[in-house]
Amino acid sequence: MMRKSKRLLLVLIILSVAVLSFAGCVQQEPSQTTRPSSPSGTQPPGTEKPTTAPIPEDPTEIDFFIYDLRGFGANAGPIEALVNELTKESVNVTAKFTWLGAADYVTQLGLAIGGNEPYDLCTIMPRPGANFTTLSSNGQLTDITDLLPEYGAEMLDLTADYIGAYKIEGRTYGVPTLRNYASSVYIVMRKDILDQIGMTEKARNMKTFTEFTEILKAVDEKTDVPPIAGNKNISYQTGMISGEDSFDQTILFDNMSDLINVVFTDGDGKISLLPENELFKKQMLRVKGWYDAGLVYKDSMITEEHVDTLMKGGVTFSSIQTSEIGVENAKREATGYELVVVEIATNVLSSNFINKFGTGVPITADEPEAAVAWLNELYTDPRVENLLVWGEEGVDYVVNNGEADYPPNIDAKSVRFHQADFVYGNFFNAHPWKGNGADFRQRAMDALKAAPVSPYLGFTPDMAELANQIAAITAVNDTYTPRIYTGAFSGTDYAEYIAALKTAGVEEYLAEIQKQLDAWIAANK
Amino acid sequence: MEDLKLKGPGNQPLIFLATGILSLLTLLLPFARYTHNKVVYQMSGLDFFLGKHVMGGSVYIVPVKSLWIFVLAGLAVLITAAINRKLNQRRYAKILLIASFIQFICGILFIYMLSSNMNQTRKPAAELGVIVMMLVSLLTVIHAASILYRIRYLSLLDFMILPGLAYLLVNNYLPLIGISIAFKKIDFSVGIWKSKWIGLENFRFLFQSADAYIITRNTLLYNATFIVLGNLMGIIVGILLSEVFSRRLQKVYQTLILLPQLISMVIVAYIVFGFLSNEAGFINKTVLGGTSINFYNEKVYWPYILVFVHIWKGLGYSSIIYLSAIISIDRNLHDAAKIDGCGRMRIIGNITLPLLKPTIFTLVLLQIGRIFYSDFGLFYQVPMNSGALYTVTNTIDTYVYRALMQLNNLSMASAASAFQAIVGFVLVLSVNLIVRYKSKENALF
Repeated sequence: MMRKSKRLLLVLIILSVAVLSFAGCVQQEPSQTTRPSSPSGTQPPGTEKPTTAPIPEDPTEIDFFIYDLRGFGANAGPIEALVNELTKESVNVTAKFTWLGAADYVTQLGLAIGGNEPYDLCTIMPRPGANFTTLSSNGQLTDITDLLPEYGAEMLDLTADYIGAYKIEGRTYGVPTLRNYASSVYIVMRKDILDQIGMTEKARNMKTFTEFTEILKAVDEKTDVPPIAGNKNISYQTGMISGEDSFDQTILFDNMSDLINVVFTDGDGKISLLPENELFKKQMLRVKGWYDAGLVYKDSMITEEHVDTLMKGGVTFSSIQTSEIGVENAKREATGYELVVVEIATNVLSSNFINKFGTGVPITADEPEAAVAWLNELYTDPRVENLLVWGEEGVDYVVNNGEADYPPNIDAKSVRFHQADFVYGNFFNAHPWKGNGADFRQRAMDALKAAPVSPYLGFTPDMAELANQIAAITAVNDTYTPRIYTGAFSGTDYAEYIAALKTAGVEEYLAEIQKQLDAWIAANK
Repeated sequence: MEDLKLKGPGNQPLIFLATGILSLLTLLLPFARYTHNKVVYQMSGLDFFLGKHVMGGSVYIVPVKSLWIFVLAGLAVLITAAINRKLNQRRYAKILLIASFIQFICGILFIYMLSSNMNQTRKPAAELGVIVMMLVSLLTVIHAASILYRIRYLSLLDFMILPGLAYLLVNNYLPLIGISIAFKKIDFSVGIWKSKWIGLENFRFLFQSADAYIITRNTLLYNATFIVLGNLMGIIVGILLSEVFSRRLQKVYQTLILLPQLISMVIVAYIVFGFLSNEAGFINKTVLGGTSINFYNEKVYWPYILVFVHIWKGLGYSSIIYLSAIISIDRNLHDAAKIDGCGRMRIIGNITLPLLKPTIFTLVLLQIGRIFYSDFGLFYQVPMNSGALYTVTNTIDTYVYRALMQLNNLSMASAASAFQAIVGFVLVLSVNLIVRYKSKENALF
């Protein structure tokens, strides 16, 4: 026993000596008790262990938490390698991509940031939980105002007119994907049915909702197809139309990137409650008229399918929806039918159209400088942009007459990698896809330049202190809006809806946004 | 070896002094690393103990509390070893065991909190030093435990419970720390642990809205109905199955009844939709022959539809539990009753049901504990999330899901879940108390 414990003691003493000798090897940063007055360059000479050879230096690796719109992330390996070759050469940064599809992106992003995982970039996209308003009010994004001029000057220059949509109280928290933000609300109708009832010409030339209602009635009488359909989330379409009969007089409400779509402004600096507006109510009553006359697809208020999917499934003749130039081409592909498309009105260019897609630096990032520098490459180098949206030239796409297309013998199903041009970086640097025409980018740019601009472009309310009201109002909206937007409401529902909004605290909500808007106007005069 | 047992293990103060000093010395080892201007730097345990300015002075790492506790526990080990003659052996070993175990836990806490403590540095990561520190504490723990074992204070059985205990601790008790999220305003820039406490602010949205009454009522009444009807039907079907003569037929029935249990609620929702849809539903088009009821806009039908769907889906599961309880009843009792001239109904009434009572009590008690939770799939998917039906389909879970979908607010979601857990806990305790008062042997605890 004694011998055994002595042996143990000996081992412990040897261990102690070992620990003491190792203790000298801690590679410590020289102590520094004073704060530097400026972020760089003020360290006393000689205290910091310098990295003497700046070039060739190992590239900085950043992690990009990226939204996988089309689900090709699993095949992205070769694309990433090609992107990294380019960015390594230009800014000495390589990126590691974590692709996540629509189903997982929102939850995984929340978990990643909450779990302190060091992602350096993330896609901002219009889904609850991953949109700019939520991310910024939860404090999940890094303030990159000071990094942009130093590491992303060209990108800042390109997005100068629009980056305001990612500002809160004058500080920038993200970079918008540069694309055509101009959009309009369109009536989309199936041409084969119009031909059958002989109203194609009338549809092409219609100028009022009265004429549209006549067409819907004719469809109802002469075919089995429900004349019009919406879905629960249709608020972005019919919900924003003022109730004028003539398309020329119709305006679209500017909801100022309100997350829950209950406020709007009429341009004189006043915020009002949308459902209380007479014109809004008039439009809802028009839709109710359609519903009561049996013109609306009855399952509209419970379906979550996109209206294009409903049309593809043959359960609707028409839909009203927001889209952009190139709508005929895009909708023909989505529905599988020849279409007649009529524009009702153009949206005012406001923050919520711009900050739909963009890229931000999560608060947990380790390399924000390198992340911004990398992002700058994405916006300025067309090779990087094309790789990320269409894949490798010759393998995933070929360019014919200025348009990108699938290579011979490859189609949408068998292609290795294919994303969309409106999610990442600079849309205007990507080749237009087949069917849009080689001059598509120019036309898109023209449409963007011509779009009416909201006087409050650049204002995004900070909702951090309104969480309780937003939760309560969201619950009220979910109860009433599917019925109201699809016309399936009874006489008392509308008043009940407004009363319920008020119980939920919508007035505090309006007051807070009004306060912030007043401050914004005062600061931007 | 025999005379060793007679002598006993001895106090071995030198060994404990050595491990105590060694454990404190490990603080000099590198505990973590970070990157500054592309150079990797390390921080020793001492730096964390005292606090340090890093990242060129721009970030201050505050002294870490767990290391302070670690040092105090280490000093306790040293003092105990030094005054060993004044303590009896059992108390001496117990103090050493507890103090060194606290040291070990401090190591775990240090790693757990590291990312939050070094939140503002770049690429923080733990270094081996902290592992060495934990190993040294573990060595002390084992050594103290071996003394306790040799003086017969601990038995082998005490050691055998350790894996199970560790599992319970990690899986069931450690996550309880998360309840603090419900009382905080999460600030991701400083991490969850350093976020501000805001009291009950997160709970406000649950009670602020006009829906608070409706969701509580729906949750409670639906679950009460499910408990009563579910168990009743389960017992009846269980008894019926046990009375089926042909084994093969019994298996066939059992499988058929169990089948819906295996279907996902999303699929069930579409099966129901197939029956109730406005445009193509079986009931509207075939049964009612054209006079259409807009089921998804008429709330009067839904309490019945939901109860039916729940029973239809859950029957197989509950009936099997009851069937297995019935099978375990001694057949001799049945045979004896038969000889005495009992009919089937009397056997069921006087033998099967009384012997099922403990099973029924246990199942009902467990279900009451979850009375504030609702089957999310049933209440969200089956009514197709239709707004018009919310007054009869909205429960706490669906309300919280819908309200927080937009916000992605961690704290508010935790608040709702903490509320359910606490109320459920109180309910189980009180119902169990009543059962204990009425019939002690049927109580859970």
